Amino acid sequence: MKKVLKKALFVSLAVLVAAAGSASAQTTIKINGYGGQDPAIVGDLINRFVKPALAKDKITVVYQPLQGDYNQQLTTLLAAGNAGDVFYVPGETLDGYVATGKLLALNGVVNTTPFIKSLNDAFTRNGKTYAISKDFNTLTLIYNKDIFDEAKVAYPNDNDTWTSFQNKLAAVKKALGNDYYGACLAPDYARMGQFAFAAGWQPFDSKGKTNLLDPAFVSAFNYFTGLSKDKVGVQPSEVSQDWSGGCLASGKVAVAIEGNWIVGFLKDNAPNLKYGTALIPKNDKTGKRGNFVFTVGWAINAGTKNKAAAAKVLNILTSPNVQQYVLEQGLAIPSRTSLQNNAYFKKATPGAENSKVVFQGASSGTVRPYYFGNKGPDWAKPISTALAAVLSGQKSSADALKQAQQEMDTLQNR
Amino acid sequence: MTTTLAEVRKNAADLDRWLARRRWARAGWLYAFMLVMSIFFLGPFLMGLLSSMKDNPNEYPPRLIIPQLTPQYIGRAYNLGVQGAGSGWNGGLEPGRTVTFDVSVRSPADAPQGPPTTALFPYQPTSLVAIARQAQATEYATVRTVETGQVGEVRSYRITVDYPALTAQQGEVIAARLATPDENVNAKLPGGQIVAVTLDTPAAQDKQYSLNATQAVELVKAGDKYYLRGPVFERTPLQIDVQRGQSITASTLPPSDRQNFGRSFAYRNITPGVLGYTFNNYRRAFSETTSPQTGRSLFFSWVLNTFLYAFLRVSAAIVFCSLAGYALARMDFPGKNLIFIVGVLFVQMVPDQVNLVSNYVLLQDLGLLNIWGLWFNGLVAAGGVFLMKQFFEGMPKELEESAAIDGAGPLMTFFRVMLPQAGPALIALAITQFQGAWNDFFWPLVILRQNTDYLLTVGLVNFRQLYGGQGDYGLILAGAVLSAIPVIVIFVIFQRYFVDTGSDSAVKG
Repeated sequence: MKKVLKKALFVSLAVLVAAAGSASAQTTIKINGYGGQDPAIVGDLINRFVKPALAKDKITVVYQPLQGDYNQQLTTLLAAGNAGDVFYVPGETLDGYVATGKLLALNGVVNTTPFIKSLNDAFTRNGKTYAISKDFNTLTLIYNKDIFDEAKVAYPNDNDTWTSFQNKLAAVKKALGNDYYGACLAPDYARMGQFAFAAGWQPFDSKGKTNLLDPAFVSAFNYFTGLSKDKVGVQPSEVSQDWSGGCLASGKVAVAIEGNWIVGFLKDNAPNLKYGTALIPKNDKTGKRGNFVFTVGWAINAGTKNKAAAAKVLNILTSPNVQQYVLEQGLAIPSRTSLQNNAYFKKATPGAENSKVVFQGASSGTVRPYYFGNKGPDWAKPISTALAAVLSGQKSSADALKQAQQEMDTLQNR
Repeated sequence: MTTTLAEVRKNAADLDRWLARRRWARAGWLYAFMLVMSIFFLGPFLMGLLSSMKDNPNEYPPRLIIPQLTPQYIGRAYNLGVQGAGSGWNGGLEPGRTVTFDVSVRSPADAPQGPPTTALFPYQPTSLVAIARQAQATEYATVRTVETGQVGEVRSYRITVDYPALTAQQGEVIAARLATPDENVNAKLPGGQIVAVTLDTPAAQDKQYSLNATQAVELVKAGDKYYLRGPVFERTPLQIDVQRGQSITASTLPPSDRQNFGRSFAYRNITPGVLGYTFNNYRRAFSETTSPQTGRSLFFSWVLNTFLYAFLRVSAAIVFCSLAGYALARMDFPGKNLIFIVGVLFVQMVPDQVNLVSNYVLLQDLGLLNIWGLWFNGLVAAGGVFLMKQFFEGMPKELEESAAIDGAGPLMTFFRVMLPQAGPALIALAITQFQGAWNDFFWPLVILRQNTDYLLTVGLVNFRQLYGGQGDYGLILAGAVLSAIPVIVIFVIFQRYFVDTGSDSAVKG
């Protein structure tokens, strides 16, 4: 008996050594993504879906989060040849990686048709798709129901126009006085640009140049900054907060313009806040609304040694099962069109309601990806600076825009 | 114009008074300066410490006297913890227990006179490591509100939270955690044994599919069977709403959140115990980073990693810096000045970031992208060599000469004569190296990839990244205060060793 055991042990050891010796037997796929809560989420997905499906292929999958500035870290790793086989790529920074040939074109590797078209577009350059949207977000109006009730003003709704929305905010301010505000206005292109899209502004003309003096942009800029008139709208810093979510949680501000990321924050930081969600208001003239779509995609490293295995992992991570699980756990909003009728969206909780509006936002009116062109994040800075200058009353709108256009020209002619 | 004696005396007295005034003024300036400096340096730490205990660390204006540090409320938190779980420190809510909570509501004559609406609500803060939903008290416990008295317009109410056990079985009560279920619910006993759990009442069977693995539960052992008594909740979140016109004037604990113009109070935990009340964020730093798979707290691993790294760095610095410093100070060998200029001075002038890519690639090729690579990367501190060199140069040469006369070679001289004299410099070196290692951020961020390998500094970034960049400040501050403590302790203990060597008295003449 002992001998048999010993023999068995020897044989299994030999097998182990052989397995370790030949590289093809066991493949490890490394995934890079965000830190924070993502290691828990992706770790859970790997355990639940990827491991069982790939057990027989002898593929192991590990997740390595990148802390701090994700793009900077990923660039370093790609330069050092040490990045994961599969990794997150935010839509707004795709171009740099495409230009340097670091991403594998996924045409023929993954079927892109089941995904929402605007999300595929965000990752497509010259007919080649470089990433599959993992999940996405759009902007919504999140409002404090108690404040509107107290002011006896109707809640914002999906039919609101710029003017009717502004009137509602002004009525709230008038009814409640000094300590309360209509909206929190973050001086950020990412919270204002959707109004410009609604007015018909194109971020880039045919030559790739940006015109901030376009009447459509000017009207949106003036509308957004005009909301701060008579303190109807305030910057988050004026109520000692660092973003609109904090404003809403404080119970002093009626409306915040944010995406689905606010839901988790409110659940933790303002558990008894009664809030609702509505779509971004429509432009009075065009009758359309605008929106950003913020998305992060799964991409494959062009330099991976295990292309087939990486593609398998990517296909599992974007599969209907995984996306449905992620949605039903309330973690993110899936990128597959087939999930728009999921029961989760019909739930009556404020969080699920917000998810529904975010999902609708991606296909209502002029929706553009959150994107900076080929100059990177610096592109949005002149706009955000101008917004801050006007909202804090340092400059007139005309002056601020003139200077922003100058800075923009300098940047784009560089 | 002759001066009388009285005038001279008067002038002298004036001068004395003037001198005394000057002395006081100087002392005053000095004290004012020290006061300003201490406020400047201690103020942020103090505010951080206070804010780390608050429910809303961002509150403005910030309060200095907070209920979390008021004996009255700490006593009540202790008492509520005893009611909920029999533990005044940890708190929580266990099956079969009843908790009472008092609230006073003012209802003026023209306002509604009804009682407040009370309910438990689900509350589970976003965690770094676990996304499994924990059972919520609201699904298991009932709340009732009874009026207990009236003084003028103010009525007081007693809110009773009742959490009945899910089984009527009697026997030994065991605290356990649920394990991965198969056809029946399983639990892992404290000894590590996995047992099947019997759900013997309709109320218990109702919950079979809503309980997730890793949920803390209480079991009753009767015969050879384990019956589910119910989940153990870390928190009992309670919400109290009054109608327009009414106001809440007092409650057993102050609310953690106020909404609806002060008419909606949320208490994130009415059975906190002292740890859950005053040190809530500190407990969260450990408990909310506990990996459900391994049962180990990430934060705890980060602390251990940081200590290990700091220890390695300090030991390496003491060995290499003192040797190199002594050689550069006292030995004569060709190229000594060149080594000093290139190896010590020039290296200090080059910023760390310049070497980033080359060192990274080197460490990667050596397979050292871990804590050992981090150690290797900062093995010899040029600043430390410089410090030791300057120190040894200041030592009297006669000490070595007398050692040489007694027959000691260079090594013997170093280890038996010079190094024992170098205590203060070594302590200074150790403290600066410890502090440097403890606060090191750049290289650990670049090199360490698995969240179990992080150092504290990198781990704290994790806390900041919850909610996509909108930090959980209470948690960040608690983590930061915890990470500051070792440096403060080390400094306070070791600063008294910064004393003179006494080597100047070793040489006569």
